This record gives sequence, C-alpha cells and structure tokens, in this order.
Amino acid sequence: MTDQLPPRRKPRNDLLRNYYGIGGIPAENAADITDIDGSNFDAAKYQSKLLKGKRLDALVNRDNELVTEIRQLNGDMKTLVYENYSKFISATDTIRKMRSNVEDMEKEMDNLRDHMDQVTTKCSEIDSSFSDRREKIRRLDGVHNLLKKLQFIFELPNRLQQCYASGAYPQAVQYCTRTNHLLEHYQHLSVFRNIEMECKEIMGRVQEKVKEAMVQPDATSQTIIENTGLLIQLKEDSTSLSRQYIQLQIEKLKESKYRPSHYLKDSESTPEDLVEKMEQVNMEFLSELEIIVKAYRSFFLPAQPTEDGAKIGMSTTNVSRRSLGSASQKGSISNQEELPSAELSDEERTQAHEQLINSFSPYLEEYFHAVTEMIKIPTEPLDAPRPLTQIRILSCAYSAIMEDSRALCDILLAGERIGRIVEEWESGLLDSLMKGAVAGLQGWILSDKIVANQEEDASVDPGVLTTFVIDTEEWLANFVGMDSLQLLSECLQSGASFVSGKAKKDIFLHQIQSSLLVHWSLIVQSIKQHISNIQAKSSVHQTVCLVASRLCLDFAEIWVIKTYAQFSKELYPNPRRSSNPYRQEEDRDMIVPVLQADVEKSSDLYREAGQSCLVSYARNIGYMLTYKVEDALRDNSWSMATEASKYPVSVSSVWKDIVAELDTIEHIVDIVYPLDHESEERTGSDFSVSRVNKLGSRSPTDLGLTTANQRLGVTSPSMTSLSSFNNEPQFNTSGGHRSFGNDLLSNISKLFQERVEIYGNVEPSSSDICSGLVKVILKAYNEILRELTLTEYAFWQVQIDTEYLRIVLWKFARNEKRDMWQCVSQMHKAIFLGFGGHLQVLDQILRAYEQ
Amino acid sequence: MNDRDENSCVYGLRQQARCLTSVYNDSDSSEFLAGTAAPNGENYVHLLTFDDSTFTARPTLYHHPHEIWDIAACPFNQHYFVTTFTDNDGEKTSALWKKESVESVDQMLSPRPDSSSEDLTLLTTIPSKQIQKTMWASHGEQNRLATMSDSYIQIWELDSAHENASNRSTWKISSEDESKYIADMVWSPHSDEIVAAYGSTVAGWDVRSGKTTFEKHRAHPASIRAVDYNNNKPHHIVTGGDDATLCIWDTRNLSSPLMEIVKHTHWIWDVAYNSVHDQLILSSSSDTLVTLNSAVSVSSASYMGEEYDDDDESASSYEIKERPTDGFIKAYDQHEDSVYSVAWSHSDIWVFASLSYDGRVVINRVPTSEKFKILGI
Repeated sequence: MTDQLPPRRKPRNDLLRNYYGIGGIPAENAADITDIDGSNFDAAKYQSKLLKGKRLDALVNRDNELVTEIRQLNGDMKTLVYENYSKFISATDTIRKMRSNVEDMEKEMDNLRDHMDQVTTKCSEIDSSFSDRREKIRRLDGVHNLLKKLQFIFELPNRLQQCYASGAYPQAVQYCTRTNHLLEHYQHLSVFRNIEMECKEIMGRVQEKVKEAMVQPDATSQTIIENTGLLIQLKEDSTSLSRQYIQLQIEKLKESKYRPSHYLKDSESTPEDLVEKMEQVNMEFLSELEIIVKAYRSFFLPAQPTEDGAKIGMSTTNVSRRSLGSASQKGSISNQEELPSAELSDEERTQAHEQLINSFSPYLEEYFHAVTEMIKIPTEPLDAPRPLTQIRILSCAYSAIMEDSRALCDILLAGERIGRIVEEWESGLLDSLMKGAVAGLQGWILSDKIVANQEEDASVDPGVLTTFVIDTEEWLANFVGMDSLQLLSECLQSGASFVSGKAKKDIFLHQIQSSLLVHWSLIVQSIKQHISNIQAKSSVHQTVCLVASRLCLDFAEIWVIKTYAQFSKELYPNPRRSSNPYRQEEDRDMIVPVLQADVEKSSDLYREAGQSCLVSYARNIGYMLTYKVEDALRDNSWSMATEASKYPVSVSSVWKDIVAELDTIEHIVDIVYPLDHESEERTGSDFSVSRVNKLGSRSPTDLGLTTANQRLGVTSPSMTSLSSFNNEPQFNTSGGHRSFGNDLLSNISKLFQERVEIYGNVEPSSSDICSGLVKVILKAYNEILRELTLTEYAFWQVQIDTEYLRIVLWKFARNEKRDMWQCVSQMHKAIFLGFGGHLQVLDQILRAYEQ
Repeated sequence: MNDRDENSCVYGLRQQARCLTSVYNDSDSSEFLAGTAAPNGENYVHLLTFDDSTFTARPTLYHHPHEIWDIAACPFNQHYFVTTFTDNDGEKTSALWKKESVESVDQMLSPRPDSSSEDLTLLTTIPSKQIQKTMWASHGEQNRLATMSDSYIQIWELDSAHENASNRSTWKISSEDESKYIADMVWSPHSDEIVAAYGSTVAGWDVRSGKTTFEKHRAHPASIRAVDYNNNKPHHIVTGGDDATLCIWDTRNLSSPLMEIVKHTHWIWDVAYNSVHDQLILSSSSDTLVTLNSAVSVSSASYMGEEYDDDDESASSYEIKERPTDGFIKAYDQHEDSVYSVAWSHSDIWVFASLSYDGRVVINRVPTSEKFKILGI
C-alpha cells in the first residue's frame, strides 16, 4: 500500500522518521487506509469513500473539521520550528563567546608564566646570600642553651635544698626529673657526678618526706593522689606503690561520712531530703571514687597516653566545675596538665588492673545498691506523690554516672550497670502498673457482685449487671488509659536524665509497648481462667461468663483502640499527620504506626476470648437445660403411666420451667448485649448498656450454614440447593404450619436435608443465643424421646408438649427461621409418625388420634 | 486403590435401628450384626457379610421377636450373640441367642432375599429387668456377661451349656446425684475391670470386689454417652459425650485428659478404638457424622515409632516417609440421621461399619493413604 504514496513524500517522511527514532513502526494495519492518522492513509481513497458514503451536509461538516484540524496542525508545526530555531541561535551565540574567551586566556597564561620565572630567580638569590649568617646564629643559639642548662645543673643542688627546706616537693621532683637524663649523660665528668650525688641525696630525703606525708592520717585523698604522682616520678616501685595507693584510698573511702550504705539509709526522710542526699552522695562519694579511680588509671594503666590525657583533662575540668563550691582542693587536680604514669610491663598492668577492679568495685556496688534500694517501686505507684521521687533519684544517679564518671564507666563498667538499673526500674514500674490492672480486674470479677446479688432470688437485677459492666470497663480504662498512662508520660517528660535523648526514650517506649501487650494477654488469661473455674456452677455463675464475654468484646472493639490512641497522643508527641479539619478525628487514626500491629494483635486476642466466653456461656446453659430435659423425660412415672388419672391436663412442668429460664436468659443477654434500635423498645432499654461500636454483623444464614460445613470440612451437595430455599417466602412466615408431604418442595428438602448445626458459633445477641439454645433443647428432646417407650398417655403428653413448644419457642427463633423450622418440623414429623417415641400400643393411639 | 477409599458399602435395614456389633468370626470376610428396633411389627437381626473385593454386603436375616436395643457378639463362638430388647411386658431384658450359619448359593446370587428369614434359637434369658446393655467379658473367664441398668451393673456367669445365667455380683453406682443413669460401659481387655459412664462421671470397678478403681467427676462438662477401652494400652480409655468432644484419658492420672478431639457438632453416641492400631478412633454422633481420628501420640504406636527410628538408622536405606500424625483423618457423611453405633470389624482391621437410626448401615475402610502411613510403607 505504501507504494501508492506520492513519490516525493515517502522518502522525506522516512527520513524524518529515522531522524526522530520512530522509523521502526511496522505497517501492520496496512488494511486500514481510511485512518487519517495511520501511516497507510490514502487520501484519494478516503476522499472517494467520503464522497460516496456521506450526504452533503455530512461532507460539509467533515470539511470544516478537516480545516480546523489542519489549521491546528499548522500552528503546532510553526511553534515547533520556532522553538528549535531559537535554540539553534542561542547555541551559536554561546559558541562564539567561548571562542573569543579562549584566545584571550592563552595570552594571559603566557604573561603569568614569565612573571613566575622572575619571582623564582629572585628568591634563590636572596636565600643564598643569607645562608652563612643563618648557620652562625644557629650555632650560637645551641651554645646558649647548653650554657643555660649547665648553669641550671650547677645550681640544682642549691635549688633542691631550697625546695626541700620550704616543702615544695613537687617542684623538687619536677627539677629532678627534668635534669635526670642530663646528669646520666654527663656522668663521666666528675663535676657532674658530684652534683648528681648531691641531688640524689636530697631527693632521697624528699622521697622520705613524701611517703611520710602520704600515710599521715589527716592526708586527704587528694594529697594521696599528688604524693603518689611524685613517688611515681621518683621511680618508686610501682607494684608496691599501687598497692599502697589502693589501701590508703580505701581507708579514706571507708571513713567517708557520705558512704551510701550508711548515709542514705539512716532515716525516714521526705522525698526532698532523699533527693538532696542523693546529690550529696553523688558529689562526695561518687566523685571521690571517680577521681581516685581515674588517678589510679593514669598512674598505673596509661593505655594510650595522648588520648587518655585529653580525656582526663576534659573530664577533670568537668568535675572541678561541678564541685567548685564544696571541695576546692579537688580543683587543683586540673592544674596539673597531666598526671605522671609509671612504666609497667604487661603482666604488671593486668595485675594492677585486677587490683583496681577488685578493690573498688565493692564501693561502686554499694552505691548502686543504695540507689536500687532508694528507687524501689512503691506498691501503689499511682498513689505516690508526683513527680515520683524515684525518677528524680534515678535521674540524679544516672547523670552522675554517665556524665561525670568516665573512669568508673570505662573501668568498672558503671555505665552499663546504671543502664541496667534504669531498665530494671522501668520494667519494674510497668510491671507493677500492669499487675495492678490485672489484679484489679480479677478483683472486679471475683468479687462475684453479680452472683451475690442473685443468689437469693432467681430474677436478675438488671441494674447490677449494667452498672457492673460499665463500672468495670470504666475502671479498667481509667486505670490503664488515664492513671498509668499519665504516670508514664510524666516519667517520659520529667526530663530525667535517663529518659532524655531519643534513643533512651525509644527504649523506654518500646518497653512500655511490649509490657502493654503482655498486660492485655494477662488480663485475658485471668478472665479465661476465671471462666474455666465456673463451668461447673449454677446458671447464675454463667452470667459472669456472659459478662466477661461482653467485657472482652468491648475491649476488642473499643477500649484497646482507645487506650492505644491515648498512648499515642501522650507518649508519641509529634502527630504523624495534620488532622483533617473537615473530619472528626477517630481514635483509630490517632494511633501511631508503631502501635498498629499491637492494636490488631490485642484486639484479636480480646475478640477471640470474648467469643470463646460467649460460646462457653451458651454451651453451659445448653448443657444445663439438656440435663433438665433428660432428667424429666427419664422419669418413668410419666412415660409408663397407664392409669387414666395420668391423663394429661396441661403441659409438663419441665417445659414451663425451661421456657421461663429461656425468658430469663434472653432478658439477661439483652441487658448485656443490647439489641439494635428496632427492638430496643421491647427490652428494658433503661438498663441496657449501649455498645459504642456494633460488631460487624454477618447475616445469620451465612453463619448457620457455612460454618457448619467449613468446620466439618465437608461440602454436601445440598448447599447450593438450600441456598435457593432461603429465599422461599414460606420459611419466613410465622409458625411451622406447613403440611407435610403436600408439595414437591418438602420432598426435595427431605432429600437434601441439611444438617442442622446444633453447637455452632454464637453471635452476641439474645436472639442468636436463644435460638441456639432452642435448637439444643429440641434436638435433645428428640434424641431422648427416641430412647423411650411410651404409653398412650405419655404420648398424648408428648403431643401437648410439642405443640406448646412449637408455639412458645417460636418467638426465640427470630434469627434462624429456616433452621428452626427444620428442627421443629423434624420433631413433629418424628413424633407423629411414631418415629421418635417407641409406642407400646401404637395401634390404639393411632386410632385415638384419628378420632 | 484410591477409588476404594471413596467407595463405601451402604445397606438399608428398612427399619429403625440403634445397635450394631462386629462378629468374631474365623473367615477373612468381615461380619456385622445389626438389630432393628421397630416398635411394632417384625424385628430382625441382620447378619451382614462384607465382601471386600466387590465392596458389597450380603445380608442374612434372622427373625427376632422384639425390638432390639443392644446387641453383643460372643467373642468365642461366632454363632452366639446377646441382645437386649423390650419383652412382651414392656420390660427391657437380655437373652443369649444362637444363629445357624446359612450357606446357600441362592443367597450369594441374590443379595436381598425379600422375605426369607432364618430363625434364632433362644439359649437363655438373663433373669433381670431394666437392662440397658449387655456385654461379654473381654478378659478372664469368657463365659461371663455384664449387664447394666440405669443405676446398677450386674455380672452373670453362663453354665457350660450356655443354658443358664447365674448372677455373680451386683453393684449399684454410688452417685451423689441419683438421677444420673449409666450411659455406657466397657470391660477392660487387660484386667477384670469395668469402666462405666454415668452423668458426666466416668469410673471403673473391679469386677470381683465391686470396688471403685478410679472415678473422675465432671470428665466432660455435659453427660457422657460413650466409653471405650484401648485394647493395646492398659489404663487408656476414650469417652464421648454431649459436649461433642472426645476425651482420651489415662485412668492413673485423671486431672486432665491426654487429648481432646472436637470434630462433632452434637452428642457423641459411640466411640471405638481400633483393636490393633489403637491410634485410630471412630466416633459417631447425632450430627449424622462418623469421624475417624488419629491419636498416635497417646497410642501404643507412640512407643513403636521410636523403635522404628532405630531400625531406620541402622538400615539407613529408607526414604523419608510420611509418619502418621495426630488429628482428624476423615468424616463420613453418608448418614442422614443420628448415628448411634459404630464398630470395627474383627476380621479386617481396616474395615468398620456404622449404623444410623433410619436403619442405614455404612461399611467403610480406613483411607489407604492413612493405612500406608500407619504401616510405614
């Protein structure tokens, strides 16, 4: 087809296509030559087709359209050309400018090079002219220095003597160390030897003095440190020195009046006092320990001299700044630039290290112990005065360790230790809070309020149930959501040192989060345990089960989310998203993403627990009613009745009882699980506890049918056919007034008789629970009747009873009409056909029945 | 092989029926006895001979004068069995019957003889009333029978001619709640012990002394209706009840069941341990289902499994094969009414029969895959 394009246009078009990279379009739609945008468009054919196929007005319209399109295309093309052209122009301009610039640059560069050469020659000239004199000056300077040193050395004995006399031992030691190598170097000259001897003699005396000063009982630990430093410089034996140092310092520590074990323990004091004391201990005892350990480290364990020195310098200034007021003598340590250090072999070092750890860790331990004692979590953390003293004490200790006690952190791992203490404290606090919640809840449930109030009379006071549910929920929500949460958020925001900083905060938050999760499951466990304990008890106890299920379900739907929302609000300060002003912000939206998974998890936990409580409630009630039915039916006095006196006059009392009980149960369930609005006026809505959120309700038929089959893993062929029956209006008419065998449908339904699920899942509504119970009762009735042999009187009684049940139980069968219908009708059929009761004298009865 | 899994043999008794038992026969083919319970009219004991190759059951009918509530095949003579029935006075009583073996070619050809029925020979009647169930001793002297009524259990001894039953002992169950009646009992295959269930209690008695050996109140939250004894493992019993749950117990430690199986949705009426592979437990329920469950971990096979392991290692040529595991194997839904009775065949350990109230007997086999797992093939 392409051949038919005008010869000039084709190569041009191809070229353009190639240029723009769209040349590869295959001519697949070759057939469609009327597509005006297609590559195979044939104008002539298109025109002739239009002329043939269209009316005049259509042609005119098409013409107009084409003209407009062409004009548009034309405009587009022009714009394109213009744009490309202007780009081309500006590109040309740029290139031209570049060229002129480059020409200039070359000239400049040449100039520059010339200048540089000149500078170089001048420089070398000057350098050579000055070199002689420089050499001379250097030599003279050396001589001068040497002379100075010699002079110093010659004067040294006098100086030392002076120092010794005035007691300036540090100065003496300094001189001595400075000159030691010189004297050693010039030992062969007798002059120097004499000087050296003299110096040594003096220094020996100094050493004696220093040692003496160190062991003085009134020497402060600071003096001990200084003197030890001097002794090290005087090359005293380091092993024994270190031992002595430790011994002396420990004695000092022992004497310290701020020893935490005594100082902090002594009396019952107010929180303020405690905090003050804590600060004092930090200042006096801990910093003392810190300094001692630090000094020891630099004396005997100089790991990396340069780095260490810097560190010491820095931290000592810190200490001095902190302790300016109280202990000025401690500041003096910062005046020394660097503490001297002994030279030790590796072996000695390890030994010294061990010595250090062994001797000082007990004191640190003592400190930590005292701290742990002081921050013991009160039994009722919520009642304690806020902010918690413990927080302040802990904060105090934490900052003292982490900020001011580098050496302790490095050597005795104090940092990790305090971190652990903080962690323990946090988890302890959470534990005690959560345990409080669990214990409280157990108290609520175990108080058996409901039971106590109902034991006497069978009728339930709806008010008690209602208030119980509301009170319990509110109490728990308040406890968890408000009180505990507030305490925690106070902890977080108290600015305490151990929760400041994002990382530490995150750790705490994480702890809170996980302990909250644990706490939910603890509550569920305690509820479950309680439920399993009451299985064997009376129906009143079962009500507790029902209430527990309500509690759980409410938690699943509302309180868990609310609590987490609260937590999100309080503990995670920056809101994740700006709230939409047009929309009511829901609790769920406020939960930060970190907590979402937890919310799901705990909601599921509660939902499952609530459901199992509910099922166990329904089951247990069912068992009880079954017992009742069975007992009554197995009582031979009625089934074997033969005298006319046993002629049935009214419904068996057991059925009346059961119906009454069902009424009560319905009432109770209505209170605990109030119905939707349409049926509210029927129940005593004054007492109903309205649920904030309704469970997503599934249609009852879905529930009844599918769960039965899913649970059994069986699919029966009747499933499909039955679902079509569901819509059959007859099933929804009131009463089971369908005559048997009169229509095809009943035969079919007989063929595909669906298994009626007796013990199914239950939904939290009175109708669902009651219709489930009715099913249980009817099925039990049927089963037990089959085992009995009846006389005609008994049979009549059964007839009356079933008729009664049919009428009375119907009202409970709001939900699963179809199931109920089946159940009741099955029973009727069974009884009337003699299918169920084993009739001893069937002939007679049938005759009587016909009459 | 797999087709056979799907197959099951269905046979209709034409009358309501509640009881089914397996015959202790010598031949290879499984035989079951089912008694009908039509309140008026003719009742029959149906002997079903199951042909494994064609998967069909050949019936032989024996006329029985009364509606039958319970039936028990004699473990030492395949022609004897005991039925519990309502006699002419409306009292429930038991009798020992003898059936003649009928081997006729005609019947082989026409599996459903319409009217022909054989007669039973009444050997002896147990002189007691209100009997609910009768069973043979499965341990010790074989000529003993146990009967249970609502509140007491009696032991009877037959004379050598099987013409007289004399009462050996009687004991009443001692229950705080008098209204509870005995629902089921089983004679331990390991000792002279009878385990019975009444109300929600399961308890054992020593047959000779009549003393309680163990007692568990509230074994189930509701009434217990069925109990069976593990043939291979002493002290192990299984119970089923109104809570639709199967519980396996070790009678030496009754604080909690060894295993609970919840697969039904209504009362469990009968449970049966497989006599050889006791991990296989059948249960039947009024939800019209028969379920087959595997409880390997609490069966005698749990010991054998470990020995297997040693063998495997020494041989080390075995492929890793699928081991039998605990859990649900299959639900059989061929019944449309409550299934009151279920029984394993005594001839073919993989065959079992179940009977629903509408008179339908269904004979099934354990699924081949499960069978292979158990055999370790």
